[in-house]
Amino acid sequence: MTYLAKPKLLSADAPKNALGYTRRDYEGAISTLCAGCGHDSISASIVQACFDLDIEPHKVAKLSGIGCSSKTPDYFLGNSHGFNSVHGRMPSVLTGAALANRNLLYLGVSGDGDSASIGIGQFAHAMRRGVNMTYIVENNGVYGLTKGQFSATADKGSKSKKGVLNSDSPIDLAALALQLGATYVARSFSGDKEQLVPLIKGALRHNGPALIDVLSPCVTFNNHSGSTRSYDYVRQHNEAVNRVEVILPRDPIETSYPPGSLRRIVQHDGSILHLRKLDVDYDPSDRIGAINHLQERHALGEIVTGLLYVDSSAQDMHSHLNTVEKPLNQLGDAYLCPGSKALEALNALLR
Amino acid sequence: MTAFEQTSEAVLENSVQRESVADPSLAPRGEAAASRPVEELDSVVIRFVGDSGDGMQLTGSEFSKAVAKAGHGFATHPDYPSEIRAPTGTLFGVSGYQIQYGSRQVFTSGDAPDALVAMNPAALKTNLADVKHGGIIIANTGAFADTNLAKAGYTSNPLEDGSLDGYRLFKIDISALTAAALRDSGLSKKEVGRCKNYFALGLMLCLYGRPIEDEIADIYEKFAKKPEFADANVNALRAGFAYADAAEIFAATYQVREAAAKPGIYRSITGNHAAALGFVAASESAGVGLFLGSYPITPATDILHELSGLKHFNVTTYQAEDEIAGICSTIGAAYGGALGLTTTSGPGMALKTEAMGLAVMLELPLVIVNVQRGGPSTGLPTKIEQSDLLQAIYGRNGECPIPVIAARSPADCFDCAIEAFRIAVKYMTPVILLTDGGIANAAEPWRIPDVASLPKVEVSYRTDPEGFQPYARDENLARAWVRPGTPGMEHRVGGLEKDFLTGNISHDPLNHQRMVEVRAAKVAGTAQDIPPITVEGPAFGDLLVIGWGSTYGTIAQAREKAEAEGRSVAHVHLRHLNPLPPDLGELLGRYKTVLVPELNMGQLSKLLRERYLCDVVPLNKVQGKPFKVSEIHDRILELS
Repeated sequence: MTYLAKPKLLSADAPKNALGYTRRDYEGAISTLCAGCGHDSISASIVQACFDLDIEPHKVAKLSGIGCSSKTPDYFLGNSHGFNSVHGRMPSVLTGAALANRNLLYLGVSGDGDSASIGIGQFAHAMRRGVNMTYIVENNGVYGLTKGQFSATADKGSKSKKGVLNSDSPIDLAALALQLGATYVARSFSGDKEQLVPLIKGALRHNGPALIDVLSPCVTFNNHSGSTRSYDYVRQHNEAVNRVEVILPRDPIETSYPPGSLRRIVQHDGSILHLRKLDVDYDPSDRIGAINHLQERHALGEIVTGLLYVDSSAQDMHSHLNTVEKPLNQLGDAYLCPGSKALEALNALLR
Repeated sequence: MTAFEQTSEAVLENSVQRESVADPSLAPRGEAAASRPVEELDSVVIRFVGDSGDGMQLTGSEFSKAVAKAGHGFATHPDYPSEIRAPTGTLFGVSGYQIQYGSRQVFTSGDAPDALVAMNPAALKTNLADVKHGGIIIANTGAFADTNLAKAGYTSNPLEDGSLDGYRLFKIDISALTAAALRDSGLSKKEVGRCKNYFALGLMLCLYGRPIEDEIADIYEKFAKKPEFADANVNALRAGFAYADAAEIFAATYQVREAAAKPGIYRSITGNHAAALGFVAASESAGVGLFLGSYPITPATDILHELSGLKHFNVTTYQAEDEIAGICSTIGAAYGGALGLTTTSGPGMALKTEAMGLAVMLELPLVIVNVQRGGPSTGLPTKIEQSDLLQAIYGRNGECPIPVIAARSPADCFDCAIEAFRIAVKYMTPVILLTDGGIANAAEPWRIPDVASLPKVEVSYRTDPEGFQPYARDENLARAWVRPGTPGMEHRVGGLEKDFLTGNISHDPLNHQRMVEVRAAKVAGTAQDIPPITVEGPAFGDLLVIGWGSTYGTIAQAREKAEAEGRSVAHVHLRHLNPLPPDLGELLGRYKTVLVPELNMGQLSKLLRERYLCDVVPLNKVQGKPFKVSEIHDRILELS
């Protein structure tokens, strides 16, 4: 991001959300990534999504690992709680934080090196355990901070900047998340904010593990011809299955789409996902179908984007583990010994 | 032709035959400058500083190459931020490259620059304090506009407000002069802007009396696929050179006296590159293929890059999915009979810990390189520190001894790489080689050795099943190296404690004690090969300075200076850190005081106190920067 000193004072008519915050209140420090980096667009999308959803900044914990992507929590939500952990272990740290305190909104930001190589074990287990989090992978197919080695998501046959062809098969984190039980799985492109912002909003309002695999070109090491993660390549091969709009319970519902082209999904918290179908046959509630679709289209060289799968009745790790908000020893006598009448009623139930 | 010679010629375009000054192209420049006085110097320190995107690393390393070709001794220190491309004009985005070169051996990149080339205000601000008083400052006035001044936190322009009166300031609009030189190049404004580092290089080459012909040839080679950039860079270089030559602002040019170096073929080399070549040399000497399993990590990744370009020497490189896979694949390769190597830096070392214990249990030869950086945790990835010594020696569960050696300079990484494998295969043990971010990226001249003179790495696999016991030992307490697939010698290895002879799993209490003791005795026994300690300075006296690793040059220079001032001070620099040299204990007793400078909180000091029950005076620095000669010199004067 080019260094531009931001004015300290905003004009009085800068738009404010329901909490009275401006977008600036959700921004972070100046990015130190390369100018044109896809990650900066993702940071901006996160800012937009949190602004739109009226999220209280202090209720957000943003966690990351190591790598270019994992530096970005410094560049958004400057008023939220941040945690840069070690390489690949963000999901474990986040899982612990979520078990200790369920009342925060957990946002995990990672990259393809961080999540698909060194941290793939942690990634897999956060998905299968159902950790209630938004997991954003900023996927560019290379290690940027160590200057351009292939990562595990690089396509077989993709060419490096030095001209080497990648000989290994790629890991598809979205397909993996589907297989592992994630309940909200999307793929997007950093260059398509109109698609990305609603996907992030939907994920933030989702109750369970929400993965968004965002293709985010590396302008310095992976934006050349022959790369399958360049801006040009992703634009040319992007096949979106749908467009999402997130409607909060407070919002009026206005739709003007022809019948049959729209699908309405109500999430656990009452938010509504409006899915405008671009591929009429695609069914985002069919986990197996989604996996098949991803594999089939990948074989054709296409990059499938959009909301790939959502389970509107998803439950998170706390319900899987049957944990309680308050442990027994903090419930107090009055609650624990409700008196003889309550006992009578209980006994009556069992007779 | 051996591997190593071939590499030197094929890969190292900048090697140079150093005989005398007979080659006219190496002589000082011709007529144009003759009218101007030439100031002769013994040594000079130059620092190039600018934005991360200004190409200062390139300018610095190209200048070093020119100096190397002239046969000077030199040492460099690249200092760059951990961002790939930090925002322009910011203080934290400043990238620098310092070189000291001279007529004699040069030990360090120098304390204080004699000349600073500052491409923008942020670079000037962050580096001015280091510049020698009265030194030269060449400032690119084109970048000293209000916005850049503000980003650097200047309220007034330091080039105009008199704050640089104590220096010899040269205000040159490098941006505009480059643009003027390239106005017909057809390149965009942005592309033209990228050429200004070559203008600066041309200017400095002229000022310091170096020809530009070799550099021009290099540019055409480097940009062979993009001729328009090659032409532009050459034009910028020529323009810079011509500007310095013609402009009357420079009263004199500077000429560093020729070095009287040992004849031979020299090249400039960084520590990571030298290590890579050393490992290939070890592999060639042993006649056994080299396997590198590694995960990218700053500042160690370059060893992986270098070795991946040397596959034709039976080198296999494997970019593992994580640090643990890096070392485990290496253990597998050693099991299979290859020279196993894994490279990393501090945090990766922590992850490899359990597998290092496995390698100790298996008694298989492999080498683990830790290019140390500032810690703990992610710490300072691009900065220098020596704080992983105790981790290397002690940092594993169980009684888990591993030999540890450390390289003292970029070129020494070559010798240490061979030494590491020599110990590993002779004693059937993992060996840790410590270097650091300072020597890994810094360059110095290196006299390409005669391959016949290199130490031998001898490997023999056991194939005779007669009387074979998997854990029977030779006179060095090493067990036999048996490649799987050898008939009649099938056996099992693993991390569980094993029987003293058969290697079968054993929980027998006395057997465990015996195995712990024999593994310790084996590693302690590697000390028998350590040559007698070389002492620089008096054999007895007031003060002994003991160092290890990349502090060598700084300590050596500080000692020489103090000795010239009449002080009794000796210097010992340790390569072998575990076990320590057998004659070290006796040596410590010959001096009244022992000073131990380290870029950590006193890890070798702790070790010396523990091993020899003698007190030492620590001198510690943990700022992500090397010692200055003056810091050690001052302490020597206080103690001697």
